[in-house]
Amino acid sequence: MAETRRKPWLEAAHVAANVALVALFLFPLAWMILGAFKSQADLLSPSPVWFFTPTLEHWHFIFDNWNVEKHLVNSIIVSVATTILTLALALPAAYGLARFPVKGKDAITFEILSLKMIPPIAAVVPLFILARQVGLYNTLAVLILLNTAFQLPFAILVLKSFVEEIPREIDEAATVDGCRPFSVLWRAILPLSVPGLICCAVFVFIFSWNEFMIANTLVGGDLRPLPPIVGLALTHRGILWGPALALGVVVLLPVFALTFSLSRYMARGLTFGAVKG
Amino acid sequence: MKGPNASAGRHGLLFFLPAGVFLTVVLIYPMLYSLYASLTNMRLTSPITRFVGLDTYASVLTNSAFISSVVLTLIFLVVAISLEFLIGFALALSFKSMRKTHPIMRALLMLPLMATPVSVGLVWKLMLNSDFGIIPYAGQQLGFGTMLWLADPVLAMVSVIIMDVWQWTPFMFLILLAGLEGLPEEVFEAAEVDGSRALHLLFHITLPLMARIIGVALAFRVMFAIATFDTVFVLTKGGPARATDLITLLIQREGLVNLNVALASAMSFLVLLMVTAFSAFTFKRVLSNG
Repeated sequence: MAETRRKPWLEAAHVAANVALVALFLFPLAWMILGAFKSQADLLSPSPVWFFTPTLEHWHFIFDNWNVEKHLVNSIIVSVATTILTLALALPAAYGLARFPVKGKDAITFEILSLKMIPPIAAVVPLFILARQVGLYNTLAVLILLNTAFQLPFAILVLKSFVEEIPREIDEAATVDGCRPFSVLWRAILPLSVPGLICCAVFVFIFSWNEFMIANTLVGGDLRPLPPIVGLALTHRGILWGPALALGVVVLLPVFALTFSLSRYMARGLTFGAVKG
Repeated sequence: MKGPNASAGRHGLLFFLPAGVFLTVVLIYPMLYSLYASLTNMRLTSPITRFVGLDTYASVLTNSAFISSVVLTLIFLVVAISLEFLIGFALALSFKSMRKTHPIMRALLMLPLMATPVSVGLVWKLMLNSDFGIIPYAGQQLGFGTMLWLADPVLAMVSVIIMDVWQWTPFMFLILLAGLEGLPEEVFEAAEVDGSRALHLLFHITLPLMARIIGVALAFRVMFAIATFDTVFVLTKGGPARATDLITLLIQREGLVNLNVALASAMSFLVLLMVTAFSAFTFKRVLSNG
């Protein structure tokens, strides 16, 4: 490698600079986590407080007054169900598009991508009206259905790019063994698609976990998942900064845990499989 | 030959069917309903809805709020995405030229990208707060005087852009780094040279080789950026005095606060038209040789 000719101190400075940049990007998140443990006085001090005695007052507050555990359960139900439903619909679709001479396949793929381009806000207004008409307004089911609809185009395209990399000989061997197309999918493609499924599952889970606009519009009261509750903290007669930050951190924890443990599967999902990471 | 092929095609369609039906019912039908609504004078506050043809579109196109939101959205898109691309590309080049990067650094850089948008809006609202925010404080220490980040119209837009750059630069970085790592190693072996040759190399070899990936990254970023809502909704709510009222915020307010469904639907379709025009132009080209 050419870089080995470089002076060691230069390499060290380079590494240090990059570490500093990463730290800069992490600062807002760290500041938020610190803030969630600061007393009200430290939090609202005009000059930033770096050293302080941590307090759990905001954490007690959100669990005592905002029923966080209830909304947490809603968030978990919606995200897990969305993830399962999305993958169950997306894998067969991806397999169908990747492997069979479907008429107008490119057109279908492009249409799927176009669906992903609909800014959710454009769909939220009609969805609000229709959900009321069919009696799905203010249910967790409507959140699961809508999150699935918004994540499905992404999942189909990513899984399609993974399935396309599985050698066709595998399908052929399974077919020769007497498998019908459905059992080829179930017995041969599914096990080999695990990295793709993990990649999709992480993104679908996190996106539906993070989703705010649909949840804020289509459900109210006890059925709300966590993000709209953060919104609530912001509008409540001035801002309750401490509790808002504590809640903001609660929402982030599973996202960080997943991103951190599964980041190696994720690079490819960022471009719907268009760039292999 | 046609026989088995056609039946295989049917099999493929069968596999696609559940997802296709689901998308039609849950997403496409509501969009068609919205298209119908945009051709009426539907308001949730009035019981009478009648067909008005393109009148709503005409009133949207002459609506000064709509026009200013489109302009604000374009400013936001151009400035934020240019910065994200430049910083992301510089970071990617810098990471690529390190002898080793710990995978943890990449995982860490992914956090702003995956972080819940309402939390992102919240922490920037805290950091930019004029009474106790750390950013105005730092500005004051550095001699910039009192800067009312979220109360001044121009600075509010700057704030929105800074927040977006923080959140999305990692997206550019990760994709471009993946692209750089896919290039042949010789490109970089030649790169260990003096500054002028290195720049020449960047513009004449690295950039052309990266063209497709840069196209993919920018196309996806534009697509996501048009939908930006949660972070800005929390940070500024479109204020002060509509200075950061992106098109998504305007549609949300018209449709869900003022309950003017026809107007919001017509605005949505005009935005959709712009997105489609953009994507027909870029995605077909960018993704075709994927």
